Amino acid sequence: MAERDELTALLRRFQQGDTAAQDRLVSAVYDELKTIAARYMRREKAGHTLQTTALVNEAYLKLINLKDANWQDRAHFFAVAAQMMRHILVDHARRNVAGKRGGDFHFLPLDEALVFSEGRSTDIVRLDEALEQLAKEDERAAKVIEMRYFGGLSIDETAEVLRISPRTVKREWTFGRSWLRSELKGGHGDASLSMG
Amino acid sequence: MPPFQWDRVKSVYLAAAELAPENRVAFVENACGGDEGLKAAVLRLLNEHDDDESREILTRRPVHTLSEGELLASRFRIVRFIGRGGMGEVYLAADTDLGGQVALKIVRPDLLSDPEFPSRFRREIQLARQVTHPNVCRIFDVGRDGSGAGERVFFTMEYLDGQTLGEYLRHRRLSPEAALPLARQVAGGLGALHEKSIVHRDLKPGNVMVVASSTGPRAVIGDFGLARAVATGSSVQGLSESGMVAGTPDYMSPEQLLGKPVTPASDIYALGVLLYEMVTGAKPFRGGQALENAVQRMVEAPTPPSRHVPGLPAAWESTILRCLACEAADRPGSTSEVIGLLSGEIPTPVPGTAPAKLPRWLPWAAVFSLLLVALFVLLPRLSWRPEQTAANQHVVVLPFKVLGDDPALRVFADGLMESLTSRISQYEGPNARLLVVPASEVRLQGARSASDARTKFGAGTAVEGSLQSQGDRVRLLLTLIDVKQMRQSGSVVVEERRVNAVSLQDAAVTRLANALNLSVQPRLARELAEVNPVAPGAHEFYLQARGYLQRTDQLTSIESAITLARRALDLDGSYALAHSALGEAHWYKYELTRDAKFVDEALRSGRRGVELNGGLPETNISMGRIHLGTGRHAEAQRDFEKALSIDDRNTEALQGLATAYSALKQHGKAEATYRRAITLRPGDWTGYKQLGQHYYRQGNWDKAIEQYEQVIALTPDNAHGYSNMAVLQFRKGNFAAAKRFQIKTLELDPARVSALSNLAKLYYEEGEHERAIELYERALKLGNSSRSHFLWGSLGFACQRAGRSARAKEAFAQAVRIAENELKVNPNSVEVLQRLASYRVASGQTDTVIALLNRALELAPGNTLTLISVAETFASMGNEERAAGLARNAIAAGYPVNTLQRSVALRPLFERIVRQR
Repeated sequence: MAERDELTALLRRFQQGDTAAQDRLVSAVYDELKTIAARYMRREKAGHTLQTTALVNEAYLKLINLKDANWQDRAHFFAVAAQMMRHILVDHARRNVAGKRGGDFHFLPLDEALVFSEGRSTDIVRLDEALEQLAKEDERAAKVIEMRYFGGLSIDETAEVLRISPRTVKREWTFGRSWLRSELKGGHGDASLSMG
Repeated sequence: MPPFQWDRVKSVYLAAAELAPENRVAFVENACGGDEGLKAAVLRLLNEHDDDESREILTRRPVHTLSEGELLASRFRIVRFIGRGGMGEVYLAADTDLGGQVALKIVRPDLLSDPEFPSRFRREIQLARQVTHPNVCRIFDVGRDGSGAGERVFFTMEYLDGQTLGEYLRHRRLSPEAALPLARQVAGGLGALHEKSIVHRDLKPGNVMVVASSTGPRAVIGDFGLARAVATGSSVQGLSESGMVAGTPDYMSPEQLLGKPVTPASDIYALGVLLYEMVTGAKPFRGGQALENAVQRMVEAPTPPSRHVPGLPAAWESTILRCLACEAADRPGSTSEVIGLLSGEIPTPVPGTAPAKLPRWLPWAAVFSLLLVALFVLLPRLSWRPEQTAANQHVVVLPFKVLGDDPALRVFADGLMESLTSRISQYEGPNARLLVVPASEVRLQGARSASDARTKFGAGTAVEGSLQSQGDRVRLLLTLIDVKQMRQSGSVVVEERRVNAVSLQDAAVTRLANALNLSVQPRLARELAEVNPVAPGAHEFYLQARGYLQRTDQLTSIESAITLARRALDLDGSYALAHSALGEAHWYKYELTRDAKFVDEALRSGRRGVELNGGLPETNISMGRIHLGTGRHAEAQRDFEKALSIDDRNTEALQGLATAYSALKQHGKAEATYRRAITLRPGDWTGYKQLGQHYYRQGNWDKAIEQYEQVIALTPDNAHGYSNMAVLQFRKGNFAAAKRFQIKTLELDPARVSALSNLAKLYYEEGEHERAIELYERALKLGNSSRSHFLWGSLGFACQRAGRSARAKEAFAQAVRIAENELKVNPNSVEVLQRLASYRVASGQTDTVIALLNRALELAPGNTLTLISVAETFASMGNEERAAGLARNAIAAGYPVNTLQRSVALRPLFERIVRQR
């Protein structure tokens, strides 16, 4: 329990702009998410949809002391986790794609068991690249997509973290999704990717 | 797209999205006020718009406009949805008036917003209906259904039940004989269009259907002419619109790419690409990005198809290349000429005009503007790197693939890859721009693909190889890939009887050198040859042994190497390389088992190799490695010097020599040798790594950081750089930075033992013992790390601090046992001496500790790391006086005070250390 209290405190310090707290928080969240993700990946059959929101939620329950936490804490935690989740998924997908490109055997460490079908890995990597592209033109829209998509933040939570109005979040969300779809359509047909 | 344009697209789109769907198009028309580019961009986004607020970002559940059974224009009953094309949705429908089935295509609603579209569309359909050719898809009718906002415009055409040529080709590459009938049909259909003055404009495998028929596959061209009805503006403009554009212009002719008038010759160009793809399975230009590809097509010749298919008939080669000529006038004049040339009915003209030359009309301004755009689009992908080597001569030979499942062939392939790499690197001296990444590094980095070659080594050329056996013959196919363009730049095929592995290897080296344009002879052309010819078959076993030696972390692999080296020696007892390989294998076996009897075996075989042929760098290097490992540093120095006297650019020998100097405390010479390795190969990150590690051992962290900055700059996706940078930052007392680098490391390589162990150390120093324990335990489960006294000892300290004395005891017992065994083999290892002392103290056996510590200090008197470690051990024994004195010496020698303050063992003495300075 001591750890939870500590992380909850870190989360508070992070919200107040303490960068040292951010480092520790990020590393704790990353460790936890990786562990949980690996477990899910083992359990779920290949090709299943990975419920990223469920994963982040599980990490939250495990790491943060719920008695003390308020909803703003939750939002900030999820915002950090969204970024980490994106790293984990993309990293994983990249490895799948690289293996496929090489056309060679490709052993994954046990905690990296397959979760995405190859096609899906390609999608994730392309999405990540497209999102990167979007961030260059429109950082805020990309941030909103990352939080909502990889972290499962609600409109209101996203608004809290980015300190913008929920209406703006909605508009960025609408625009970002359309832009990404249009971008991803390029050449390879419709992207099919679904996450909870 | 310029920022103001982005903002305009976004605001118009968002305003439109808030309206009812039927009012959006009209609103956009109005809001864009004649700016066609703006309008097109907004409509493209609106086409993707989803009123649903769900989180399903990218899944467009297939929303079909029409459902099964629906009747359109009181005549066509929808049977099912077939697919979605550029113009809109396609359905299979039953014609209730005339009977039979048709394909029915609904025109995308946003296209209808163009007021000129309907007339243009109608004109194209009328034209298309005049074409009746078995290889052209018949167009029947245009129709409308509904009115106002709900109006649907559609047209009907012949329903073809087959697959697209693209799908058809995905499963096969056609021989010229098999391709000819299909080519004839496609060309025939295209000719029929040209006769009616229709230019297809969009011929590609996706637009050609292949339908089974009683006379074999029938090819049918679809979707023609209509492209013009849809097209708005010039193609170049379309290309440069940042990211908003879809599709790859793989089949577009240069004139199309530049927005010039399109003629039947443009279709001939596309036909050329199609033919190319049919017989090679590849595309003539393979730039990853649309623009890259487009620019390439302007300035480069296509890869000749015979590079992919060595035996391709000359008629095919020259015809395809003529079709791909930049200038329309240089292409065959008609589709029937293309077929005549392919089939040999028209004799192939003597190759006179080079197809690659730039078209006469090509305005340089256009090329420059295209290049300029390309620069801006592509620039962010390139990073500036401190390299002096011409990129395409920076070569990585990737592990070979093996076709089939012969395990012996697998290891043969690994050994062949290793010896081929080393032989090619022999060309480095005279070919100043050549830089071959050593096989050991390729293995260490786990590089498997051409993109790995770029990201992990910053290389320009990757060599992929595949090995196949047929009876008693083996065939090696090497493919050179330009990793910047991600396209094939050459290939080599060598075939030999398997027992003649030596000639296979020699032929492969020579031909690979040719393919890489290495005209100058290797440094060691003469010396490389064995003194005596090797008995048949012996070299194959040797290569297999070398293959197994690539996996020195697996005991079974090393044992196989020993068996195979012995088998080579059974065939030829005087085979020097096999003796050396046997020696190295025994050394690795010792490293894994820590059983000292293998050391003797290693020394014996290593010496035998040198006796038999001391004129080979390899035998001396093997010997040097064994001597280094056993602490015979002066002998190792001589071995590496000998190797360098034969081959003065041999990286492995240079690195070995520097390590020997370093162990002999000749730090100036060591540094100079590391620097020499860097000067010889400035684009090779391993040189900087070695020098960085040297500085690290000296406790010179700032200089080490400089070297690691180079490592990261050269290979930004390489976990090694970040991992070591983390340690250096830790040593400097920059803990936040250390953690950042550590996290970056684990992102790139989550199973990296050193990163786990270092992160654990950070937690340990912060008092987070449980976390540290968890990480150490995790690290101990990976690979061979359970044989590391360092990890066991660290786990012991963490457990001790956390009050888990039982686990601590177990851990220290393991650590002591392993460290003692290591000292038996190399009694001069400072690190093992000081660590063993600390383990003994921690587990309460203090009797021999002082002797161990004094010995360590004696071997490395001024080394700050040693001083601190020894001071920590004295502190934990309660000898505070000695601990404080040593710590003061370390600080005097430059050890950072704030790092010292973090040391769990020395923290209590901190006041005392600092005050008495």
